[in-house]
Amino acid sequence: MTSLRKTSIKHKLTLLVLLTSSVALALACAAFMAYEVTSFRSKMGDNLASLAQIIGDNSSAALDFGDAKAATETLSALHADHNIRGGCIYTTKGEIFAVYDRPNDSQLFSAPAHPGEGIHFRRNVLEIFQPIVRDGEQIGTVYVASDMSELYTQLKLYALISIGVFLISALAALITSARLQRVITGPIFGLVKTAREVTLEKNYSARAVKQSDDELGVLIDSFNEMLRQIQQRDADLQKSRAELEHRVAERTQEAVAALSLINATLESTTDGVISIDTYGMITSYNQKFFDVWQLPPEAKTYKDVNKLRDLFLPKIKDPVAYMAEVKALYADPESEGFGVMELNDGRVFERYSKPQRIGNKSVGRVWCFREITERRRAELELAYERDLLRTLLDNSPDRIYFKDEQSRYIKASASIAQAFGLKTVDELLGTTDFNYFDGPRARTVFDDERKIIRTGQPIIDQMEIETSKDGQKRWVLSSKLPYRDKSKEIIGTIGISKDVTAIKETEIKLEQMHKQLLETSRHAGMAEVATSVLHNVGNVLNSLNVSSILVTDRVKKAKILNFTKTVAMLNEHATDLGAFLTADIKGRQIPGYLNQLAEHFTAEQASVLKELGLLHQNIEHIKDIVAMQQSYAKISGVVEFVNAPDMVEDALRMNTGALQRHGVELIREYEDGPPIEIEKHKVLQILVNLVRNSKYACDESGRADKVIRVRITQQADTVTIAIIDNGVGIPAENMDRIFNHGFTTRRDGHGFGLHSAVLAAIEMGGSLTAQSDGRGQGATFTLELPRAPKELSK
Amino acid sequence: MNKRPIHKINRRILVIDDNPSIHEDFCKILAPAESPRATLKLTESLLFGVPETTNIQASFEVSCASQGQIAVTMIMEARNEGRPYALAFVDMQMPPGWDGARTMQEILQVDPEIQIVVCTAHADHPWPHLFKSLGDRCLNILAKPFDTQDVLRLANKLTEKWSTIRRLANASLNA
Repeated sequence: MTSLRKTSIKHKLTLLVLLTSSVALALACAAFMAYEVTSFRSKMGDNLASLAQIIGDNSSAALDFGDAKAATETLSALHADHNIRGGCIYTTKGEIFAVYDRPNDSQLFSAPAHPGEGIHFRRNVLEIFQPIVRDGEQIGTVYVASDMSELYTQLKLYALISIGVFLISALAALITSARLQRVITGPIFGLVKTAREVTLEKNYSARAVKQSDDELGVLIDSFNEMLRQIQQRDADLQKSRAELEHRVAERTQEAVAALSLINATLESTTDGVISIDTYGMITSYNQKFFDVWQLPPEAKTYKDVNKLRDLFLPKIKDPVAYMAEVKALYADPESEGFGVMELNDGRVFERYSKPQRIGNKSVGRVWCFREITERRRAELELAYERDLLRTLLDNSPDRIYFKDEQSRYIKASASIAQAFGLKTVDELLGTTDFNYFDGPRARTVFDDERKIIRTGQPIIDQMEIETSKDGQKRWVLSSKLPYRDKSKEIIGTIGISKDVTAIKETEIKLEQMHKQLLETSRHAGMAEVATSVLHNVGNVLNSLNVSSILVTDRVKKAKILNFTKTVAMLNEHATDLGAFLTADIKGRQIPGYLNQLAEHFTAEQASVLKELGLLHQNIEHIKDIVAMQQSYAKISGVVEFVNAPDMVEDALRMNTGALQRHGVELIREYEDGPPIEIEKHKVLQILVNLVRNSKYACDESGRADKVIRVRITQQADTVTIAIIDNGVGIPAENMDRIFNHGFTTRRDGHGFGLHSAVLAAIEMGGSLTAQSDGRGQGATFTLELPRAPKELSK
Repeated sequence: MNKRPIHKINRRILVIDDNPSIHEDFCKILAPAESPRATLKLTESLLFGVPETTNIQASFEVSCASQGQIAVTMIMEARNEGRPYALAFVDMQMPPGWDGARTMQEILQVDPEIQIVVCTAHADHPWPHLFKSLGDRCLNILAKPFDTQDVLRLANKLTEKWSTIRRLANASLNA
């Protein structure tokens, strides 16, 4: 069968045709032969039966007479037919009566022992038992056996013919089929070729050629259609595969990117990260993990987290608590954990633990360790500072507050709540000053704060009067600053207010008293004059005092007493003066003593005179000072003719000591001119004042080259005296005030020198003006005097 | 009356004042130039007997400084030479340099032992300021115009005080 399967269709078809025709031919031959055999046998039977009949008939007499020879002769007639192998005649009794055996027969004939009935085809033998009937009575039985070889010979002939016919017809069929099968196999081979091409070369564009409209045609059409579809599908497949590959490539790239991102993230994070599967095996970690735990490099090779834990557990301050937390987390795979732990080296870690899930399944746990030592320290510091602030706010008697842009309190000291009659600071938060102050006051505060927020300019130490809603007035010293956030944006105001009502009230009283005092002293004037006199006279008086005491002492200790005693001694010895002076021990000393005494008195007189001279000088000095003070006291002086330079020199002389002491250089620029008619003391008073001021100005400037220039210029009707210094100068803001009564820049100044001076100048019909380029630029005071008193001005 | 030998007492005095006439005044009082000649005294003792010792007036060695800065230098030098001043008279107002208070502060920096007398002509000086700068030291004040007896009394008392303190200090040092 396998060989048949492998056989090509062409052969199969040929075989089919051959077999079909052979079977038909064989059947026809068989039928023909069967018919021949049947008819031959029946013809043989008939021939045998008629032969047997004849024998029986011919032998009936022999039988009757029992003549066996005759019977055998009769039987020998069978010899005519060479096909008859033998024969015999049975008596009625079934005994063999006569026998015939074909001569020259190789095969021994043996008659059956008993007669039978009918015709029997035995192997190669046809036998017949023919009863011998006479007069209706069976007198014996003839048995004849014929050889079948004729039949077989016949049959062989037939078979030969059949085979010959078969072979010829087969050949014809082969030739016919060879031609005819092409109709079938041609398209099939085309199909096969196409199919093979498609199969081997994957050429789906190949097509089979349709040659007929029969089933094969349909098959080829279907095949081609199928190919077309396959081609289409193949194209589609190629396309989708290309797409798929593209997508796979994309996904792969994305996956690689994602992986690298994850790795980079993992390595760039400041946290130490490690992931552990449910079996306690380390699946992933970053370098930072080993850094934060300060683990040795070989720890990276560990797979088992327990081994790793043995390394870092001893570093934890409370490992028992840590392990308890870890166990609790592992007991519940879905739980997330967060904790803070301290290390023995003082560092503080934050620990996060999250389950790692694939789909909905928890496959392990990721642990993050973050060092928060600095943050913790900062937090503690912040808390400490918060505490400080809290303490300050809770305890400061000053009012400290923070307000937002709408001037609502956002933080405040307890003192504010107390001042506003609130129980807690919390009640204050979110409210504004409008809740606690009268309208105008609250409005002022609000406007101030709006201005600070707008301009960023703080208000420092502003004295304010607060009126609370119950009408109570309080003095408050306030500083308000802009409140800025980290980006320096102003987000509100900060303020500190101090209740200074008590201080302020005292201050007001003091100020009032001071004013009163000032007024009193100014009105009195005398006190100032006295001070001035004391100031100027003080030192002179000291010398005066010392001199007078010394003179007194000297006079007290004078040898007058001893002189008197000596005179008494001389009087005692008036009668014998000569003897006394020459003979007496004491008397002898007296002339020498008197000489010495005379010398002593002379010396003492000189000394006392010198002291008295000083005394006189000092008294003159005091007289000058007093005279000057008298002119201050507006005692109108006498108008006299004076030379302006002389007058100026007098004024300078009064200041010489001070000018020399302070190292001020004087430069005189005098222009000569005729004498002027003026009240000399008034002018002197003005000039002394001006020179002294200039000296102070130079002193205060602190410069080394202190110079005062005194310049006299002569005009037709006036004389101008200018005192020019290079001292501290006069700032513009003071320029208008320097001539005011009571204005002074000196600590010990009384502030009416220039005032009086300008009044005096005007009184004399002159003028006094000041000029300065400002602070540090020196100053020029110019006194202009008329050459003669103006009658009109008096 | 004066039991202690005079030569044991340090009589060096420094006068600090911007006014030269004041210097002269102090010199006249504390170091009188003229004294009766020895022959005269001898003759008198022959004629009238021995005079009383009470009249003998100890003389002081007086130096003068016109400014605080100069005074401090002088005091420092005197200490270095081993001849320290026992007493200083300090004027309150000495333009243009340091005032009396400042001068006193500076002096005490270089010589904590020195005795000081403040001289002032003005009653309106801020005293609390002065006291503060002197700590717990006793403040001797001489008002101008001054009396010669006051000056002498202060000079005697304070130079003696200085010497006593020095002696006690040395004694305790030696003991």
